[in-house]
Amino acid sequence: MRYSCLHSLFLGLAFCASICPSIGAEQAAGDPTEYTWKPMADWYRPDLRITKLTARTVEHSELRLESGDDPRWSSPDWDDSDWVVIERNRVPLNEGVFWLRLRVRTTGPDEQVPSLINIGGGISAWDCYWDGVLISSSGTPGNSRQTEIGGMSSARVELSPEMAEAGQHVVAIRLSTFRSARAGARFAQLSFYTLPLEKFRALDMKLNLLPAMGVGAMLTIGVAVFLMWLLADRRLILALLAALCLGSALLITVVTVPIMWAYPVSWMPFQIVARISLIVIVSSLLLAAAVVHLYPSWWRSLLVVPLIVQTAIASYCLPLGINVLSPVLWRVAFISALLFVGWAVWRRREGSRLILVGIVATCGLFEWDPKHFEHSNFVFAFLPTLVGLISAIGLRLRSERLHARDTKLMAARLEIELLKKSLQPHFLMNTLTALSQVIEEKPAAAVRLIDDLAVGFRSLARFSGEKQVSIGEELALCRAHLGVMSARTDLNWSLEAEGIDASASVPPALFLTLIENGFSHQRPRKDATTFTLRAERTSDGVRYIFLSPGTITEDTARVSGGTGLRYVCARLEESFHDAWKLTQGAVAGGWETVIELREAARSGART
Amino acid sequence: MRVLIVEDETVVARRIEQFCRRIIGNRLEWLRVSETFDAAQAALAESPVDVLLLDLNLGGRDGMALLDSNVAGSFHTIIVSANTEHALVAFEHGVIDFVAKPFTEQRLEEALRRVTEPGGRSPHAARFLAVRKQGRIELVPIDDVLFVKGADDCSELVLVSGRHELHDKSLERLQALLPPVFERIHKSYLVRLSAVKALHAHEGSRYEAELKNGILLPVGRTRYKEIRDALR
Repeated sequence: MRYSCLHSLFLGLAFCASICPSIGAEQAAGDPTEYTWKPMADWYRPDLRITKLTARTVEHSELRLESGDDPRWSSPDWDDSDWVVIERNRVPLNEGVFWLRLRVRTTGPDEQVPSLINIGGGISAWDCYWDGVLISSSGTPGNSRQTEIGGMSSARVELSPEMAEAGQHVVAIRLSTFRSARAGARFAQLSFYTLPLEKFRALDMKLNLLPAMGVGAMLTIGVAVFLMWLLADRRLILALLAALCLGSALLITVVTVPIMWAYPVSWMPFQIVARISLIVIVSSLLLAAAVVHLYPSWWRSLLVVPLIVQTAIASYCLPLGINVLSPVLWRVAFISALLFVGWAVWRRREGSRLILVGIVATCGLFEWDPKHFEHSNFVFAFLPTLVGLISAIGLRLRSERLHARDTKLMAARLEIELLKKSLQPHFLMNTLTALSQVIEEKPAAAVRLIDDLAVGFRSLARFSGEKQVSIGEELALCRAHLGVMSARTDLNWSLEAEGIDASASVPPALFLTLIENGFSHQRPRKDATTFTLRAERTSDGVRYIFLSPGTITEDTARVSGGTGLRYVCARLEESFHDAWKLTQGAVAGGWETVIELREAARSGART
Repeated sequence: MRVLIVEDETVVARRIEQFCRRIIGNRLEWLRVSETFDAAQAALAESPVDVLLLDLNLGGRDGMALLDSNVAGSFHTIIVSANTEHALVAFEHGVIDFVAKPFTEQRLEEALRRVTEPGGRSPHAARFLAVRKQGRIELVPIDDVLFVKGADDCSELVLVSGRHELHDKSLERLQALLPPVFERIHKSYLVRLSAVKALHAHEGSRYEAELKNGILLPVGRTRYKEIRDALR
């Protein structure tokens, strides 16, 4: 039941989306004895919109069908008024040998006689007569698949000057269609048209030129991007873009080559399968490129949804024919792309607007002429999407380059900052002044002071150039600094650490800077001389809570971010990018700084 | 002599105090130590001092912002600091000396001598004089000063523009800060020598200096010859 509903849904979708415009095709009407004449342009693939090329000096009558086989039916004088009038895309399948007849006449004062006939469209075998003369054959029509010998997909016949005279001519086609069946189709399709020779040549050039340009452009871009991926930057988006361009070139080729050259009709099913597969592949690559560029990796799994929809439609709606199926598949891809990219625009992701504009423009050009999107229009219609994607990638590359440069500069700046810490004249000179006094008062304490000072210098010299050091080393540096400060202030400063994994990594001089900030922005209290550092595990990392004891002074620089805080933030950004958070504020007993690191692998809390 | 030490590091403050006591000896009337600038301001308001020994970095605050309000006072200011990059600016703003940390007793003694000995001068002349004006501090460029007139314990600056400004320092203390182009022509006057047009000797050993703008200032009898030689 569910299967039937799904099938019906896809069929309905396919019909609503695509087939309706073609249902309104002209129907033969009126007295069967009267011919209904149509301008040649209507017969000559009106969907190609080349009316300007086809001066309406040739008209075709309606197409009439008679089952059976009689050589007399090739005669121009045969009365076919009782034959069944059919549409050229309603040629019966698998009915043995039958005949089709139509009339061709020249009109107008400046008559251009037809000099070239094209017959084909997938009819598996035929004999074509012009005013009773056999002018073209392809394969051998037969009454069964076994007796039928399949011919070529199409043939062109140049008429001799005697044949191509102004006036009315009768065309009779003896044919069978056992090998014309496209998967699940109920009818075969006859393509028959006549044109003056020079117009044929002009038409060929026009039909071949645009697809050739499309193939050339897509190949060039695809190869260029592939080489960029191969040699310069192996990022997924470039590989996808290269595959998208190369796939597009292949799709245009698969669509165009059968129009340009005849091929055995038995190959036709493969061409259709290849075309559908390429539409799905190219549209999936387009979606993948947009999603990979705009979203984090887990979004990529959502690409399966449009792929499943396309595959289902392709499987269930194949009988409707490629001309119906192709626009439906493209619309599924474009709607999905618009949803993905629209969401990205709403989330203000970098480059999303460019991609959206490109896809909207491609959608507009597609809807303007969906039948030739994969053929003559592809190079122009797909270009906006490619431009949007490439521009977005360019923006991303530029911002990454700027970020890399900033990171490099920041690393150099931070290294200098760290070195400055060890050479801070104010700290050094005050310490030496205090040392002069301590030497005189308490020589043993002076020795300890010198030792602590040396530990501090050695640590800072070793830390320079390092992005991270172990907390154990960092705490040793902090305690040496507190030893110096104890000698300078006559207070017994200390640091208590709780729940700390000494092997965990932190940026160098991280907690030392917090200690320095404490001395700079707080007045010491004799009853509170212990700094505390506590580590707590969080669901996705670790939280360090650092308390500086002392009375808070009214100092706006500390809240707004002085030199010390800027150093701490820059170091955290350098090591943890966006996966960190720092909050601070006055608490009972001092000033608390909380640093959260969201990467479990860098956890400093003991498990 | 009354001394106020403003230093937030206990050990360093103790060192300065010990040196001061040894150097000044029994001339020391009292000595106080303040750890913060606010405490120092309170101490200054409580009783006048002769010399202030000031650290430029107190509790992380930039002492340069505090400097002007101190040099505008009646006392001399000696900076005792590790921030030697501020020394020149400190001199330009009118400190009598800048003692860089770490320092010896001899260096501090030299600085204190500039305060205690008559004729003691700052090693670098000031470029500005900080004056209190309606509750705020205003810097007067020394190039604008024409002459200075002593007025009890303070001084009156007469500027080239004709404007008058009062300074809390005595004439003697200002002379220690001003460049040598200012000469003491009278016990109550310091004059920019380049502004003097002529010296006039009157009957009764009375002398006057005529400035280029026509102002006449008295010249002390004992200084007349020295001034006349300087003007030549």
